[in-house]
Amino acid sequence: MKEKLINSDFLKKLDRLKLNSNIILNKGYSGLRKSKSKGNSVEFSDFREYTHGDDYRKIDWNVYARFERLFIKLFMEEREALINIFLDCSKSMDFGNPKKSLTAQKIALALGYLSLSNMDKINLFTQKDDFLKDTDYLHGKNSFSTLVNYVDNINFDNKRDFFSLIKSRTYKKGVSIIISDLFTNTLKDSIKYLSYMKQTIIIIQVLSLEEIKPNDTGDIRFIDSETHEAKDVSVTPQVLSSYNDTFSEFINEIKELCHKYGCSYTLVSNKEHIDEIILDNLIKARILR
Amino acid sequence: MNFYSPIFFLFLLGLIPIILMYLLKKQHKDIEISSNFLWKKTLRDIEANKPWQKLRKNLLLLLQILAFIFIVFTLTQPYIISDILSGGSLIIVLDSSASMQSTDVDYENRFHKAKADIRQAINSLKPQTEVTLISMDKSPKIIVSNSSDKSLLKRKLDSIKVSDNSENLKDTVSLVKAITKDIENYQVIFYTDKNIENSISNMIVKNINGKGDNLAIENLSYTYSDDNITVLTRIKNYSQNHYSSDIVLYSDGEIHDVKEIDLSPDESKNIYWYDVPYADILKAEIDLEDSLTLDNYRYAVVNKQKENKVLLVSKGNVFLQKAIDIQQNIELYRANEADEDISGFDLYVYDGLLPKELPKDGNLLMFNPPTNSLVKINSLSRSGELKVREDELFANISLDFTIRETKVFDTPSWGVSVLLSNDKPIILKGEVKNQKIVAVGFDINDTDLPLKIDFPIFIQNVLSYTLNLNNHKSNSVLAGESIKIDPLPKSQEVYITNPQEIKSLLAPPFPLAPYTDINSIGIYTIEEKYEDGSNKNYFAVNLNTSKESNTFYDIPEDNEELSKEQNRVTSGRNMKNIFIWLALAALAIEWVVYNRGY
Repeated sequence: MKEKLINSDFLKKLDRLKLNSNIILNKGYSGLRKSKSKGNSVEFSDFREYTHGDDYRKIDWNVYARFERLFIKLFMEEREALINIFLDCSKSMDFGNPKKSLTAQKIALALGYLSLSNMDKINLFTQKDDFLKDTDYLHGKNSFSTLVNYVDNINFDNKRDFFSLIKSRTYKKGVSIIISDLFTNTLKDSIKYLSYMKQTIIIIQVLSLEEIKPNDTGDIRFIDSETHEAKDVSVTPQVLSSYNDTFSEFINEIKELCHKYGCSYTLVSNKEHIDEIILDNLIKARILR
Repeated sequence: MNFYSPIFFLFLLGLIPIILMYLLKKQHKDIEISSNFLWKKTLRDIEANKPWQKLRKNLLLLLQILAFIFIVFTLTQPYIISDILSGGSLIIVLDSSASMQSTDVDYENRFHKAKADIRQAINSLKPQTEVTLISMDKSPKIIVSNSSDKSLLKRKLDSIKVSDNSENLKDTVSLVKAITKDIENYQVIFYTDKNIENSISNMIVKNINGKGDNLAIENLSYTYSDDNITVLTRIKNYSQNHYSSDIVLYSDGEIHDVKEIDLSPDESKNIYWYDVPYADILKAEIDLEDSLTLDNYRYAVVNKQKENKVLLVSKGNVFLQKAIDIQQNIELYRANEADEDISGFDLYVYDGLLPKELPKDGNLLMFNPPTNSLVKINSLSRSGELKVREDELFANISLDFTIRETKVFDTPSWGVSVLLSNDKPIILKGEVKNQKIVAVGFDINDTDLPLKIDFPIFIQNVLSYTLNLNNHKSNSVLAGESIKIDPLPKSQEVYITNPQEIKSLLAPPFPLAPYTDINSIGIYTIEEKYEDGSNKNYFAVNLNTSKESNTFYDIPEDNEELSKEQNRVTSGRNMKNIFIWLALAALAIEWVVYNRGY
């Protein structure tokens, strides 16, 4: 039985969250933002149950009269925020216990859901062999099931570098969320390209605990799952400490890169629960609020 | 560092299985990981930062290899040349052979240089070191045995003279081996200009060498031709240079002719001299200053074609007469009565007859003799198995003949039996007062021997023995050899004069032992005194050029290095123990490393 990727309780919690407006406003785009031009330019899009903090002026009292529940009317702006979610589905993601891919899928769904519920358009990019595959722009909460089905059917078995594919198409101004383990040498090029495409970039690095802190010692032949390349290492405490140094350096390089290009970045581990990731990690990283 | 038993280095092959076992043993735990991305980086960093890290992985293997190598080194018994001989015995062998007279060194000659080196070595010895000094020419001589008295050693060293002989390495090595057999701490040093293989442990060869540009007369011989002689000389160039020179032939001390020679490196040439008049002594000389002058001249003594007078006393024996007459330089006289007062012959042959008084001035050959003062007839034998002793008389003769009847002798005190029938002597041979005697128990006519092809050979053998016909072959010997001198029976005194004009008495007493005191090159004169006069014979002593003239040697590299440190006495210090400790240390470190799990 496949684990259920996401449950409704969690989705409820997500309803309260949205992508950090700072990020979005800085770039001058929003999906569901208070705007002076709202009265003229919006059109009805959807209903949503009132949650704490919503503008009570948007409550549809007619609906309240019928169901005795508070709903607010959602309007879609013409200037939608476009959210591109890049989900790395290379073989290396298919590792760890629980698998990194599972964590990544959950994050993608969570971010997809809260973007959809915030009236943004999302497009989920994955990899199919040598091509970049996408869901095309989805919008509205009712597209969520499409997204779930899509994510559920992703195979994490690609051996080609995902990041080199990002450059294979153009993007409209928007937000790009990259969910990956970032084991690549082309990250910098991709970030550069996305910046050039006027994207606000959010990078969520998913790593398994074994990668963050390996604890096997002895003579080990590490076999790369993507290339099947074997590397004989006599793992001694010295080597492990050297690995830790390399790992910190690796993370710092990414952080530096993100800082340079104004990206948001966070590192999540496969051991973290999705609640923890979304409600704690991403908020702390000021990606969500 | 040198090794006494380098053969044990073969054990180093054992390293291969150790390394192989290590490679096979090293089984990696296979772990599939998402990506080697970070590991590659890590390893690159490690390898870049610490080059020895790579080795560190194999620390155990390295230590094992090290321990193994040390053990192998222990087996090979390494030693280093050390300046100090730690209180043991030092055996110094000084080559005093002819080639040491080469003048191609800083000193007067190689021999003097070797002596100077030895003197320095003696000076730098520790006081308690016992030194044995051996000189090596035709035989090894122990000059000083186990002495630590430096002044005595130096005095005795000075007394060693260089000879014209060849060295006898084999005897020297066995002597040194015998000396060192029971000594534990010793060092053998050879001072020589020859290439000597290290066959003794703790042995060092100090080569006293120069460039060795040398020309040698390798041969001087002659043949008779009509009224004069033809002389052959062979010259060889032992140097690496081209040489041209004059060669002079002296006959009896006077220049006969001069020829030019022209020799490229390692070339040898034959030079013939025709129509050389008869002379007693021939001498060839190269007119050249090279490193070794001893072989620049060579002597030969011309054997005079002497007529031997032989008296055959017989009732008529054609076989015997014809067989004796074959020899060209024999003047044969015949008689059919055994007269008593005859004299003046070199050989008397009595066939079935004997005078009452045997002649005293010549050698005797008797066939079928009656009992007399020399031989006693024991019995008559008509059949019997023939046996022969290995003897010059029966050289090249088969025993395929039969004897109808023979006299059997008693073995006399003066001779030996040569042919035996039923183990009883029937041919005797021996010497009485310088008189050679051969007695044959049968009549030639009583056998089928004259019909055989062996008969003339047998007679020639007997004549050669009794008339010393082979003597001319031994009038030329090489320095260091011995010579057998055969004076005539009538000689009363025999003197010898060496090339330094020193005359010494050889005989009496008779018979003469072979003369061995041949140490210098030149002409030796043998003077025999008779009652009625005297006679002079000569023999020539030449250098053994094949052994001594090649003064050019390729010195192996390491020997050359050694020879640079001539002035110090060194000894091999055994490093075995050090290597045992090193091996133990390596094993101990390995144990620690294994336990700590680096």
